[in-house]
Amino acid sequence: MKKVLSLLLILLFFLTGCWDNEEIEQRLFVTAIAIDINEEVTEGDVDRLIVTFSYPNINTIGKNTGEGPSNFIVSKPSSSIFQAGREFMGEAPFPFYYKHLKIIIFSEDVLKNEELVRHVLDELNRDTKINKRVRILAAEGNAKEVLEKAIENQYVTEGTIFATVRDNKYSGRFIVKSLTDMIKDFDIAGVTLIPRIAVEGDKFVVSGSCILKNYRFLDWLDANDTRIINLVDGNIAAETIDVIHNGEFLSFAVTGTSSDMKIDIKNNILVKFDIKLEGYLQGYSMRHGESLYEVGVLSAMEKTIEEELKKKLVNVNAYLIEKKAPLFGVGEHMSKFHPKVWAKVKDHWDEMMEDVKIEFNIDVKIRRTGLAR
Amino acid sequence: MKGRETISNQQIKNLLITTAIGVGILSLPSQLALVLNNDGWLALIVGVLLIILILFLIDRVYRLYPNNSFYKIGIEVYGKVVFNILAIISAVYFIMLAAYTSRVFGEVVKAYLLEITPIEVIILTMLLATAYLSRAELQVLARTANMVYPILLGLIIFLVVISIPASDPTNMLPVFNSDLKRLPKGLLAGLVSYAGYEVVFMMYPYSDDKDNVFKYSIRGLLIVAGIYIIAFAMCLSLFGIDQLKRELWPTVSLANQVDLPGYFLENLEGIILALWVVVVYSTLGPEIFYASRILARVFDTKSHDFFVLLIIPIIYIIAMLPTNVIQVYEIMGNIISYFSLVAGVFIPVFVFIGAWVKKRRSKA
Repeated sequence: MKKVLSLLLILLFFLTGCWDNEEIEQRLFVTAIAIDINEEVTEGDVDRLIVTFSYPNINTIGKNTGEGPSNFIVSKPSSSIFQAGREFMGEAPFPFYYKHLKIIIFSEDVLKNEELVRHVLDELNRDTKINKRVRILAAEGNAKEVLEKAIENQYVTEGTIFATVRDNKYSGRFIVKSLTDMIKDFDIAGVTLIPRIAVEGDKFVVSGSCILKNYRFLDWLDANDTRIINLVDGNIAAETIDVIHNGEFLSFAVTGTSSDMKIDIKNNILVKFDIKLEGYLQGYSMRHGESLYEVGVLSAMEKTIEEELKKKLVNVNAYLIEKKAPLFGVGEHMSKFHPKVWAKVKDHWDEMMEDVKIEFNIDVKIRRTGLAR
Repeated sequence: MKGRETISNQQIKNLLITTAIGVGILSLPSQLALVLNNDGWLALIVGVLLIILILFLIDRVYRLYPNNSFYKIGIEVYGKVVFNILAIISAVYFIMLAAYTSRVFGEVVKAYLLEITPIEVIILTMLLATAYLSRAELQVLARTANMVYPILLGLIIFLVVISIPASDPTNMLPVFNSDLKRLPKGLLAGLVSYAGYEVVFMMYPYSDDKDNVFKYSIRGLLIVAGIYIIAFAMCLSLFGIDQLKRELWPTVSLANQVDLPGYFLENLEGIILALWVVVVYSTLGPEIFYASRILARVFDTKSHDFFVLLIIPIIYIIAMLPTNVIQVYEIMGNIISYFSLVAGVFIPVFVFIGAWVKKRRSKA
């Protein structure tokens, strides 16, 4: 009896195990998804989106690589992202796997449809596999086209777009947004900025941003204005600011910023931003005989930059007020530090914005001047 | 009782911690946030103070009747009929708790790890594996707790480490801004998450150093509270209040919120859940153990292992009753929170009052 039992136990090891195993090549790792509007949709048809998946060709990764393109792209009209994934089953050899999804691109037309945006975001938020730090971008024009362009000059497995936006420490021209950040922004102020991606020539470009309000497209914002918003958030490092100083061209390279918000609540809400910039002089068209080492030259330059930035800040602020898009994080700050006041004003915050006074104090310091005197 | 089984106070502390921390830690942060917004941690602190008070009463009871088991004290104070009813209520409570634990366990594992495995299989396997532990004696459970405790700490440290880079502590603000009238409701949610501390009531007689059980169990309780507060703070600072309220299992979702370079480290919830399965094992084990232990006392049998096999099918059936995950939390969770008020708060206070009155009378 004991022999039979032990035999059975040993058999267990041989009869179980990898009978339904999956090799890593037998999974398609989706790295980017583009979502467009299906324009040929008929009344009552649920396939309102065109969903495009991009996934790397696993066989071309690593040593002893196989032949073929480095990335594949598939596209289909569908009702939702995951529905598309299931529909692709008939075309793709293996099931899709979303764990490594890095990029989701919405086309402008999709973003104009609030219901679709809400649906897609809810779907993403509910899923257990998707990393919630997936980066969201808005495509000016067709999202699928952007993805196709990105794949043509692909040299990173996880995707060129992702490599571009991933650690955006160097550029203030766009603001990286992950799914979580985006939903958080909607929760607090109802407004968010996501980077704009577009096809220019035969390349894709990430530059500027797209303002979304209450899950809906509001407007595009160009790279310069985005930089200003980044400045208010204290997020710029390694940017160059160009101004005209005494009729000459001056470039100031920023190496560090900090931004501090203070809110005074008496009769009106007064918001004060203290923005500090540090950097070095990148270049200045010097006249003969002029020197930076003369008294007052540097501080005059600093003053010019300050004034120029302030002008831009006021402009952008006026524009945002006009668009009723509170983007400077005032609402978030108030909800945290002045919860009682915030509870009173949050429902009509959009209208309140005009009465909110915003002051910008900019302090530019040119710390170094390079090697020339 | 077989022989003289004793366990150390350190083991009692660990058993308390591993029993109390189980499936609750996954959903607790969002449950507290739903009731008390940013001040959810208040419920945890008030809850722990309340339980310290109850443990103090239990300590007094054992000092009045040294060298007696809780059951014997109860019988002596209130007589067989009354206390047997209370004991059966406690047994039912542990059975319900075990059912709830195994169902939530099944749901989480199905959602994150075994998507195509039927939940029945997940729950049954877990219950059968746990039955093996529950049939053993108290020392075995205590040793298991000793083993699991470092794993639990590892899990918490891991959670903290992975979530620090993305977290924003200002999300904790504003404090003291919520409606404190809702505190009792939050307290109920908090109390359920401490459920399992009742094991201390029955472990007292087995301690090898009875004078210090109280001290050690308080220490254990504070560790539990600390872990819960850390989990709440981590989730809140990572998600922000609105998103936290939307999450069902925020503590696991933390893993989806981090963005580490490289492909290997991306399956973080796999690591978290693997550790968590062990923690649940050490929660479910004592729950079933105590349910059957109480039944063994009530029906006066020599050992409890027979009851383990008897209640496993019952636990399984109760666990399968809710038709969806909302019912698990809304209906089952609520029933358990009221049961825990009876078993964890009412019964000890009741026994303490009886014991105290009786002692005073006999002295007089």
